[in-house]
Amino acid sequence: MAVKHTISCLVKNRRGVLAQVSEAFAAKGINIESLAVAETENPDVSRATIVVSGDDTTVAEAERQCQSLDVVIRLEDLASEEYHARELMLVKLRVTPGAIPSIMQAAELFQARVIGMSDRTITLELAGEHRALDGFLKMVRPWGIVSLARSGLIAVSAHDEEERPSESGENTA
Amino acid sequence: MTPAPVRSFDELVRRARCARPPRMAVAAAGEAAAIIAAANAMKEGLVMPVLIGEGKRIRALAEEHAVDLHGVDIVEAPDTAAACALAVRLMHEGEAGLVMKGLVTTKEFVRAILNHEIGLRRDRPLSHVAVIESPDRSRLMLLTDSGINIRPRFNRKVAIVRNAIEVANALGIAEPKVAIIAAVETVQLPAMPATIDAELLRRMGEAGHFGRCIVDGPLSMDNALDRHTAEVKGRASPVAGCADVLVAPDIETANAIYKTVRYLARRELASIVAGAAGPAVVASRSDSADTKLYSIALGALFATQTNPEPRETDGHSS
Repeated sequence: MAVKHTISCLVKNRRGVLAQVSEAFAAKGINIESLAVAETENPDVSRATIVVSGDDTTVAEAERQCQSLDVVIRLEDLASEEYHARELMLVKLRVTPGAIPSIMQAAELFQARVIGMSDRTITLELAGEHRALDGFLKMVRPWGIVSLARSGLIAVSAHDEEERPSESGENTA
Repeated sequence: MTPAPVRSFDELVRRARCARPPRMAVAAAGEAAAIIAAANAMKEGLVMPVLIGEGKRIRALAEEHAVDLHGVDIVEAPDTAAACALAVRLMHEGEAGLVMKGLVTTKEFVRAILNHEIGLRRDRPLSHVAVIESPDRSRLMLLTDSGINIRPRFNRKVAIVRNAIEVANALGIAEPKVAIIAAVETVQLPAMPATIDAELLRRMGEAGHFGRCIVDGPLSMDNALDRHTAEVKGRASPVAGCADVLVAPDIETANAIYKTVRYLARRELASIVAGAAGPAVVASRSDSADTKLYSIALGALFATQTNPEPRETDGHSS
């Protein structure tokens, strides 16, 4: 049975890393639903948050494959623990005067912020949990989505993490 | 036919005066200022007060301040909560045309108005609407919201605009020019959210969502009040320099304008809380006697304008 997995992966900040990590999942026939990568507090280390769906066994194999890569410092499947996850979304909606109160009501409800306006469109920024973003889209879809960009999920463990030598960039996998 | 706009506070009192004044339920009337204001308003022919509270105390205060309570109804209520509830009930049942706050906090008074069972809730939020004189004293203008909504979000501002337009209509301003105030005249994203709201309100106004009115924004105060400034700044607007309604972005701005008018410019004001099934007069103890009288006049005029019951005026019009 396909289960959604959110994987937090510390990798060395160097070229080609993303391709290697992606390949580890592709090799097991797993599609990456979202992938967000950026530098951590250590410029030599990046954190990749990968969301995939697949049966637990196949995903575990892909994770092991990924973990064995020289460029991967640490990999955690957050499904097994509590974590904080957010996603950023920019959505441009068609706007007519009649739709303004409803769009703004949805924006207020979901705490979206207006970041752009033209004669025909309004652009909103919304950060939150994946489901909240989906809920917002469901509400505003009737007015017409002109364009949409989502950052993909970013996540950190909810637990205090011990400072580990591995996060200095040395692979201990 | 729409009456001509009320152009001064004296005219407001004259226009509100009528042969069959509405009853005004004063909640927690055990306060000299409220009793005096209500009695003065009755003397002016604006309202028939119903003083609700501890009768003994009300009578003692009236005697102490030489207020004639002849013709004034006094209704016993053991505490402020009961007084507020009773005042609201009178209006709810059509026994009063307006309510006034006495010696009770605004919070408790408003809570009674918003009571789900016997309150005066309508389909929209309450907002404070003040009336001030235009800079050249040739007409009256409205300012909102300096007393109820702290940091209104967009849809609350829609209601605030609607409430203010209703009050403007009651003052005979058939097509109010509504200025949505901000610090600048252009939309500043995302730094100035008030400018975004102003732009969206303008679009709604343009599309006729507020009925017969002209809404423009964002407009800075100088542009809203002074046509020459708007011309110099190149801000072409049918509202610039002749705004009838100033909609401030938040309570701090509106309250500062209100108090600047009162204490720096030394001008009188009037105000009511609109948005309920009838007007509420929420005068402050520090308000002058004139401000209290004008506020009651505003409430009475609004009540009779929006009440289907026919009323007889003194025939005056400007």
